[in-house]
Amino acid sequence: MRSTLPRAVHPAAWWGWAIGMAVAVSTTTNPVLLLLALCVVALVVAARRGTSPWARAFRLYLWLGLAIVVARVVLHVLVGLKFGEIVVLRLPEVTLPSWAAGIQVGGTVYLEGLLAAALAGLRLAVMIACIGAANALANPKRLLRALPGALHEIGSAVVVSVSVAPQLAESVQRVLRARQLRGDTTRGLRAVPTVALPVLEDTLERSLLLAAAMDSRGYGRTDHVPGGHRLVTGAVTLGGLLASAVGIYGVLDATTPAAMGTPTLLAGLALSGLGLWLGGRHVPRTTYRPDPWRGAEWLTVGCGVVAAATLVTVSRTTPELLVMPLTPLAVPPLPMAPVVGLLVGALPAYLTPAPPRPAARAAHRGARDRVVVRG
Amino acid sequence: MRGSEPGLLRHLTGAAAASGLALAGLVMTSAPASAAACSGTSGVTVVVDTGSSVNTRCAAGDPASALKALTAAGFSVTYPQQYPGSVVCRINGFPASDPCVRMPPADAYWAFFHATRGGGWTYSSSGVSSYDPRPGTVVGFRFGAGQQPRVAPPEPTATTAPAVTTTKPQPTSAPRTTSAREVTSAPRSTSSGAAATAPAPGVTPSVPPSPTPTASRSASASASPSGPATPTATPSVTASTSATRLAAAPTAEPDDGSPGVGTLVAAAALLALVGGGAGWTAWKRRA
Repeated sequence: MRSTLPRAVHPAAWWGWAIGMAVAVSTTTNPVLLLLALCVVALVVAARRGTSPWARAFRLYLWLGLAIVVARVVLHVLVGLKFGEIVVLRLPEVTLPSWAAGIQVGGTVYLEGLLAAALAGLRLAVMIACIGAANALANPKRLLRALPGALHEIGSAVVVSVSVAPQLAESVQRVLRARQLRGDTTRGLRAVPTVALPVLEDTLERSLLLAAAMDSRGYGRTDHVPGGHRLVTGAVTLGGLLASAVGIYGVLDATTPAAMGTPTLLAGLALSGLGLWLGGRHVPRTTYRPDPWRGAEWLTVGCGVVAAATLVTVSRTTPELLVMPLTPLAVPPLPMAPVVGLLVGALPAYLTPAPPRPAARAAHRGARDRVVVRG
Repeated sequence: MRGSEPGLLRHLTGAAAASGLALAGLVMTSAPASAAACSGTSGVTVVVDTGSSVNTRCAAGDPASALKALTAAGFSVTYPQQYPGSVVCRINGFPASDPCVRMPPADAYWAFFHATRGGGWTYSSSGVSSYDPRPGTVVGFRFGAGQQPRVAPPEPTATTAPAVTTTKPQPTSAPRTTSAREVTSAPRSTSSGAAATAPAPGVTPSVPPSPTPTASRSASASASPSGPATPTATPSVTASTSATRLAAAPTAEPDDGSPGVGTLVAAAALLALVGGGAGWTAWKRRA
C-alpha cells in the first residue's frame, strides 16, 4: 500500500520510459501508430505530471512538433523531390544546373510526396513529444543527483546553471507580488531599481543557502587519495572511453573485423563504469532525501522497454505493417501487436503513484484571492 | 559474316512479325511507350536487365529524370517505403523477395547506368530521380550487385527495332498500373500496329495490377471485375526471354493489404479513446 501513496516517481524511470517510447516511434511512419503514441504520451503526462514550472512545458513541445511538421511540408513544396501520381498543386519549376541535382525548386506537388513529407515530420514531432514528456514528468535537478559520485563536480555545475533561470524568474515574481501587496504599482523602466535590488539580494541569499547545504553534505571536500590509486582510476576511465570510441566505430563500420565491434564496445563500457566507481569511492558525500527505486520505477521503465521491443521486433519481421503505403496510396494498416505495445506504454498513467499534491501553490492562490478582495 | 546478316535480318523480321501477330491477336491498346529502343535522337531508351531477362523500351520526349523515363517507358516502379520517390526497389514487381521497406541490400539492388547510343555503360554517380537523361541517350537498370546490364546500349537507329537481345519474343499480357494522366500524356510511340487496333474490349478501367501470366483475351477479361477502383490497366507487350517471370512478378505488388473503411473506423475509435482519455485526465486534474 505504500507505493500507492502520492510520491514522485524516480526521474530516471521517466527518462527510460520516454526513450523507449521514442525508440518505438522511430520505427514507424504509420500515421495511426504515430498518433496513438502521441495520445499515449499525452495521457501519461496529463495523469502524472507535477506542478513545477517545467511540468507545463509539454505544450511547448507539442507546438514545436507542429512547427516541425509544417516546416517539413513547406520545405517539400519548395525544394523537395516531388513524386507520386495524384497531383495536388501545379507550381512552376526552376531549372537548376546539373551540380544541384537532387534539389527540385518548385514543380508539381503530388499527394504521395506531400504525405511522405508530413509523416516524416510527424514522426520527428512525436519523438520530440516523448522527450518533452520526460522533461515534464521528471525533475531535472533530482535526475542530476543520480549521477555517479565521480562526476559530482560536473553535476553541481549543471544543477547551478539549470536552476538559475527558473529561480530568477521566481524571485522576480515574488518581489513583484510583495510590491503589489504594499500598493506599489510602478511599471516599466522606473520599476527596475526597486525590483533589481531585492532580486539580487534574494539570489545571493539563495546561493549562500545552497552553498551551505552542499557543504554540509560533503561537496567540495576531497578525501586523501593515494597517487597510485588515482593513476589507476585515470587509466581505467581513459582506457574505457577509448575502447568505447573504437567499439562504436567498429559497430558502425561494416568492414572492420567483428572483434572490433560489440565486444570492444562492451569492454569499454565496463571499464568506464569501473573507472567511475573507483573514482566515486573517494568522494565523501551524503544525499538528502534519496529518491527510492521501487516497483513503480521498474514498471515505468518496463512499459517503455516493452513498447520499444514490440515495435522493433515487428519492424524486423513484418516491416510493411509499420509504414504508410504510398505507392500505391492506401489506408494504413492497423496491426495488433504494435497497437498493444504502444498501449502498454500508457500503463504508467494508472499504475504509478500519483505525484504529490502541491501545498505552496494553493497558498499562493489564496493570497492572491485575498488581494483581489481587498483591492 | 555476310552470310549471317540475312539470317539475322530474317530473325528480326520474324520476331517483328510474331510480335505484330501477337499484338493483333491480343487486341492490345497501345502501351505508353514502344517495346523497343527509341528511333533517332528523340526519346530516352530504357534498358531493364533483371539478371535473367532484358527488356528494352522507349520513353518518348524528354523525361526530366531517369526515374520519369523509367515510368514513362511503361515500367512500374516500387519505392522502398523509407525512401519514397528517390530509390528504385522493384521494377515491374521484380524482385518480389525484397519487402521494399528499407534501402535494398548492396548485393541485390537495381544498379543505374547511363550511356550514349552505341556507347558504353557508365555507372551513374547521381540518383535516378536527379539524373536528367538527354533525349537520344540510354539509361540502364541491372538487378544485382552493381554489374552492368548484359547488353550493350542499343546502336543509334533510324527505324524501330523490336527488343534487342532476345530470342523469339513471347508476348504476354502483363497489365501494369499506370495512371490515367500518364497514359494520356505519354505520346503515342512510333511504330506498332497496336494503335490501330485500339478498342481493347478485354480491358476495363478496373483491372487489378495482379495479372494472369497467360496471353489469352479471356484471361485478361476475367481478371477485370475484382480490382480496386484506382488503377487503369494498360496492357503492354513484354518481349523477354523469361516472360512468365516478369509477368508473374507484379502479383507481388502490395495491393492485398488495403484494409479499407473498417480499419479507418477502428483506428479513429482507438485514437479518440486514448486522446479523449488524455484530455479528460488533464481537465479533471486542472479542476
